[in-house]
Amino acid sequence: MTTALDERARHAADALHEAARDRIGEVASPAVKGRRAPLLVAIAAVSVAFVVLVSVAVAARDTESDDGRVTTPPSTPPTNVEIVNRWSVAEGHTKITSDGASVWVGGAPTPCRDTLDCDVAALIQRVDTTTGRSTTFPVDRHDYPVHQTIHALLYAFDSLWVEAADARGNENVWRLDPTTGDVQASFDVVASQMVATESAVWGVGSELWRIDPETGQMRRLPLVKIQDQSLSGASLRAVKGGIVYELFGSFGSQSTTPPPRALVFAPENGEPRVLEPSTGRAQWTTDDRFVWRLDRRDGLERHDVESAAPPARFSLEPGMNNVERVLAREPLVVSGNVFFFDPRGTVFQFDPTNPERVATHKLSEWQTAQRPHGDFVTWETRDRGGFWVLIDGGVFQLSGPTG
Amino acid sequence: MHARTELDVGDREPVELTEDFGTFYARERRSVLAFAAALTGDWAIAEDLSQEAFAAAHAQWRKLHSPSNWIRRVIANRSASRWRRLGREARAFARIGAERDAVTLAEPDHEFWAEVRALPARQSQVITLRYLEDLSVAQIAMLLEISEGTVKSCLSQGRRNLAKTLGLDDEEAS
Repeated sequence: MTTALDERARHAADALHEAARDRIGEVASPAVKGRRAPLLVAIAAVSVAFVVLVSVAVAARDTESDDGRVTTPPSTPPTNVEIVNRWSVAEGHTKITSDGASVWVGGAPTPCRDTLDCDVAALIQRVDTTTGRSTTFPVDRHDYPVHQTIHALLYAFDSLWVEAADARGNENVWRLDPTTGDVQASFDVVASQMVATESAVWGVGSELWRIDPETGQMRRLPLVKIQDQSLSGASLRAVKGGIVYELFGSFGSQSTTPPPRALVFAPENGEPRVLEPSTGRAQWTTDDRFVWRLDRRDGLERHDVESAAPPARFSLEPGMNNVERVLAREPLVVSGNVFFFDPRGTVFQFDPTNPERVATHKLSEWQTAQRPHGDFVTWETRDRGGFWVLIDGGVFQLSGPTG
Repeated sequence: MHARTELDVGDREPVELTEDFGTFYARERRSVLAFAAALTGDWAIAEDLSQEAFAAAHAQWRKLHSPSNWIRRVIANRSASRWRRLGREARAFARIGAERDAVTLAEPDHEFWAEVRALPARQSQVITLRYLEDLSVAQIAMLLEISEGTVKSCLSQGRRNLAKTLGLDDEEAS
């Protein structure tokens, strides 16, 4: 009672089931575990994971002490994160950047009474963190109503780089004097995020571009976009040795996320290549040596971008099991430590060299019933670092670990 | 923990099952992955889809009455939109020299699933559920939340199309 088609179909079904079985076996192998680990591996193998986690961490610590770079294990426990300073800024700002001594914030709505009679550009507020003095200047002035909105803000190469759009849909990047706000240059490019390398400012919006700060030459670069319905935009994260790590996938409040794909873009050859696709449930960021992967279930993974070694894995603090409620969705890496925030003002601090050393710090000043919004920027000096947090009309300077 | 009652697939009486998510995941993981792979033709995408669907199921575990059906419906729906993007992705990956993680089976099985994916989305889903999951018309209708008539129509058209493209006889053998 079967047809040739039925026979063929059943055979093909068996073959596919078998291939899936093999695939799952492959998933469990150490070589691809980080990339394809199933959702509940951690649940099923907590005890094994703990042993592996500790041994991997020890191995990672040894490796790092050999080459002596970047993340030397701190000899003392992490110091408490404390609020060093706080300044009030205009309500509504959403972007922050810093040169280590000053912070600039922007993004507040243009203060216009009448939308048809508004020639005020978006405003940027600068706070001198030494004196506490605050000054405000516009991004640019026009002879028509603008209602500018700032999308990206970056301090680099002794200049302030601002991406702003006006009500007419004109979107530009301005290079400003960081103190006076004088326009040094403008570029006809769009960016939702900007970062700086040693030799260029990079931006990503509908395209990837690069500006040479010395010559002012702007170059548009081919960009691979992995489109997804729930993907709200590409994101650009970090830099290493002239290479920009292009991380796709932004993370909304949904329990499922589109699969981010980490692309590495090498300016010297002009072509990006895939670094590692993820399983669609992790968040990525980078510092100057590592690519960090925050997995909702399995904790942190750290990929050394210069080696093919398996990623080191760290456990998440139990209170962090709901990543959607963490304010700093990308971890902040300061002095080799990793920080996250939750909306109620708790700072989670991870020491990458010691996965068992997880500290939490409560910043009572941040307690709020509402989910706050804001932005973060890190700062580093020779012996210590910290971060500035823009939140609810205030800028907080937080101390980081002393290392 | 997370114990729940599951309604079985199909038109049978609901079967009381006390099952936690871990058990469900272990039981369904392979077949769900195979289902997603059949619809997308790409292991990485199939794994992503499966992962997303399981994560979504886990998030609302207590609310689901038939997670087996629900998770396949999620994958069927999402694969349809994902599949439309694959052409663009494939071109993008080709530009950057990256290889996709295509599902490759020995012939003629590979050809069979390739032709199934070439069918209109609904036909492809119905055929896949029929042959890969061995579901009845009623079960498929319940799973996809469409009428049995629609299932029969899709099944008939899909089989006819497949028989034609694969050069197979769809007449019943004695």
